[in-house]
Amino acid sequence: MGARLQAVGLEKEYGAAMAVDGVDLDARPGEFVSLLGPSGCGKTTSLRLIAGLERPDAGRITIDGRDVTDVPPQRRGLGMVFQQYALFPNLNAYENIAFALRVRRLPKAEVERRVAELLAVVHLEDAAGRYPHQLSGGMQQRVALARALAAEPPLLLLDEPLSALDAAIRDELRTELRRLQRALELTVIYVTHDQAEAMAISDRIVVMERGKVNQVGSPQELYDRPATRFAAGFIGASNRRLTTVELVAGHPTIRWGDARLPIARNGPLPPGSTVMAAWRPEAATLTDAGNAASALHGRIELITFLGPITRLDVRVPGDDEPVLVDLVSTAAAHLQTGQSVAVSIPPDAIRIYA
Amino acid sequence: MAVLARQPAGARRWGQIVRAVLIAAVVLYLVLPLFSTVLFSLATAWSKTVLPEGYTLNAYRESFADPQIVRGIQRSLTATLATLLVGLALVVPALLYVHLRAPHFKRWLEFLAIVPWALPGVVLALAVIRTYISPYNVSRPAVLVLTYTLVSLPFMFRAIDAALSAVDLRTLVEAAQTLGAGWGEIGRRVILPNIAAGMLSASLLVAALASGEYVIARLLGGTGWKTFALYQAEAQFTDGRVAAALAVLGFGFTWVVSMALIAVAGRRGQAGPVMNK
Ligand SMILES: Nc1ncnc2c1ncn2[C@@H]1O[C@H](COP(=O)(O)OP(=O)(O)O)[C@@H](O)[C@H]1O
Ligand SMILES: [Mg+2]
Repeated sequence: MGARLQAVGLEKEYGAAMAVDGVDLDARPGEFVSLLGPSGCGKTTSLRLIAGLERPDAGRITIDGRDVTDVPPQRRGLGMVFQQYALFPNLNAYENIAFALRVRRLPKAEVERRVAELLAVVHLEDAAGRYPHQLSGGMQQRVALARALAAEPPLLLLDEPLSALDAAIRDELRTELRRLQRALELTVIYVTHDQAEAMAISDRIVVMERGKVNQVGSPQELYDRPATRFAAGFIGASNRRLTTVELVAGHPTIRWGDARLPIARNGPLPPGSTVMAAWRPEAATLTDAGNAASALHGRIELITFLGPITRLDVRVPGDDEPVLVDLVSTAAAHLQTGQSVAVSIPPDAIRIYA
Repeated sequence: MAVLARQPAGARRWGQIVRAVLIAAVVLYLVLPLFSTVLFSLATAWSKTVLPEGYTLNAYRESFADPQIVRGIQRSLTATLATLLVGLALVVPALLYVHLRAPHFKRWLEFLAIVPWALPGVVLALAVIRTYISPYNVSRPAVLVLTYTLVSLPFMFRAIDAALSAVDLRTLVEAAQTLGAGWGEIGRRVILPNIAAGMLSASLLVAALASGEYVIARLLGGTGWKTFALYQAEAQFTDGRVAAALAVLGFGFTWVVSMALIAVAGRRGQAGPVMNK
C-alpha cells in the first residue's frame, strides 16, 4: 500500500532565483500525481526536495505523517527513477536491480527470489546478465524502474522517465507503469512537461508555473475548467484571444475579429475590461451560414484529417489567425477548402480569464 | 573499394611494396638497437663476428650479485610506489570533490595540474632544492618522491578524470542514496568500481615514468640515494655488458607495465561503462 505524501510551503532558491516558491502537495495513498509544467518551472527541484537530494529553504515534508524534512535520502525509504536512467554501468541488470537489497543485507535466497520477480514484472528475464550499455533505452528504463521498486518503497518518484524514449516505447511503457502502479497501489509523483502524457496517466495533475502551483485537479477538471490563462494555454488545444467584454442588450458578449460572440454570465465581468477568452476546437459546431447571427462566419483555409476527427482552420474576417474547429470526421466528409462556413460556439463553452 | 578497383594493378602493387619497405625501415630503426642491446648483454665475446661468439647470463648474474645495484632497484621501486600512493591520495579526493560537489571548479584544478608539465625537470629539481633541501635540509628521498608526484600530477589527473567523466558520478551517487546506500556502501559499490580502471591506468603510467627517471633522481637523490637509473648510467663506464643488462631489465619493466596498461585500456573500451547522455 502506498504512502501519503504531504509537502507544505516548499521553497528552494538558487542564487537569486526561486526554483520552487511555496509549493504545497498532498498525494493520497495509492494516488498517481503528476507535476506538469514547462521546462524550468521547478518540477525537478520539487521532486529532489521530496527525495531529500536537496534541502528546502523553507517548508516541511511528511510521509505517512512522519516529518522527513531533515532525514537524508537513504533513510526516506522511497524509490526514484531518473530521466537518464542512472544505472550503475559496472553492474549488470540483475545486480542493478539487486542493489537496494544488497545494501540492506538481505539473505541471498531472498535477493534471488525478489530480483527474479522484478525481472518478470518488467519483462527482462532474458536480459538479466546484460550491462546497461548493452540494453536499449526502453530496457534501461525498465531496469531503472525495477531497481527503484526492489525495496518495495511506498512512494515512487519519477522525473520525466519516458522523455528520452521513442514515441512507441513511450506509450507502451506508460501503460505498463500505470498498470503496475495500480497493482501495487503505489503512491507516485510523476514529473513531466508533456500535458498529453500527464492527462493519460494521472489521477491528479499539479500544474506548475515559475516555481508555483498554478492549478490542481483531475485530468478531466483541468481540461474542462482550466482555472488560469496559463493552464488554459498549457493543457489541450484551444482558441484563445485577448478581447474586451461588452454588454449588448444586457447580455455579455466578446468581440472576436469583426464578429461578436455571446458568453455565459459566469463571474463578474466588468464591461470594457480586457480579458482572455478561450474555447476548445471540439466545442464548436458548423451551422447554416444564413440563420446564425451569433456565429463566426469564415472560410475554410485548411482541412486536416486526424482519423476519428477532422480539424478545420477557419479564417474569420478581422481575426489575426485562423480558429481551429474539430469535427467528427464523418460530419466533415463533405467539406472543401475555400468553402464558407458559420462556426457556432455555445456561450457556456467560452471561458473568460481576467 | 571502388577507388581502389579503378587503379591499375601495377600501381597498387607498387604502393604495397613502398608501404612494406617503409614499415620495415621503421621497425629496424626501433628494434635493431634494442635487439643489439639484448644480444650484447648476453654475449661472451662479440668483436669479429656478425653475431656473438657465445651466450651467457653472467652480466645479469653480476648485476643481481651487486648489492649496490639491488639497492638501486629497491630504491627505484620504493620511490615509484611512494609516488603512486602520494599522487593517488592527492588526486582522487580532489577529483571526487570536484565531480560530486563543485563541477565549476574543475577548470581551475585542470590548470593547476598542468603547471608542472610545463616546467623542465631540471628547473623543477633546482627549484625544489632551493626551496626545501638547501634551507631546511628535508630528507632527499622524501623530496624526490614529492617532486615525482608533482611531475606525475598531470598524468594522474587526466587518467582519473577521464574515468570519472565517462560516467555521471553525481547522479549515480544520488541513485545509490535513494536506494538506501550510506557513504560507505556508495564508496565501495559505486565510486570505487567506476574509478578503479582510471586509477590503475594512472598508476601504470606513473610507474613507467618514475621507475627509470634519471635527471631529477640525479639532482635530488644525488650520490646519497642512488636509484636504479643512476647505477645504470654509471655502469656504462665500468662494464658495458652489465650496462646493457640493466638497460634490458629497465626496458623489460617498462614493457610489462605498458602491456598491462594496454590490457587495462582495452578492457575498459570493451565493457566500457558508458552512460547515455
Ligand atoms: N543546481 C542548480 N543550480 C542553479 N539553478 C538551478 C539548479 N537546479 C535548478 N536550477 C534552476 O531552477 C529552476 C527550476 O529548475 P528545475 O526544477 O530543474 O525545472 P524543471 O524540472 O521544471 O525543468 C530553473 O530556472 C533552473 O535553472
Ligand atoms: Mg526537470
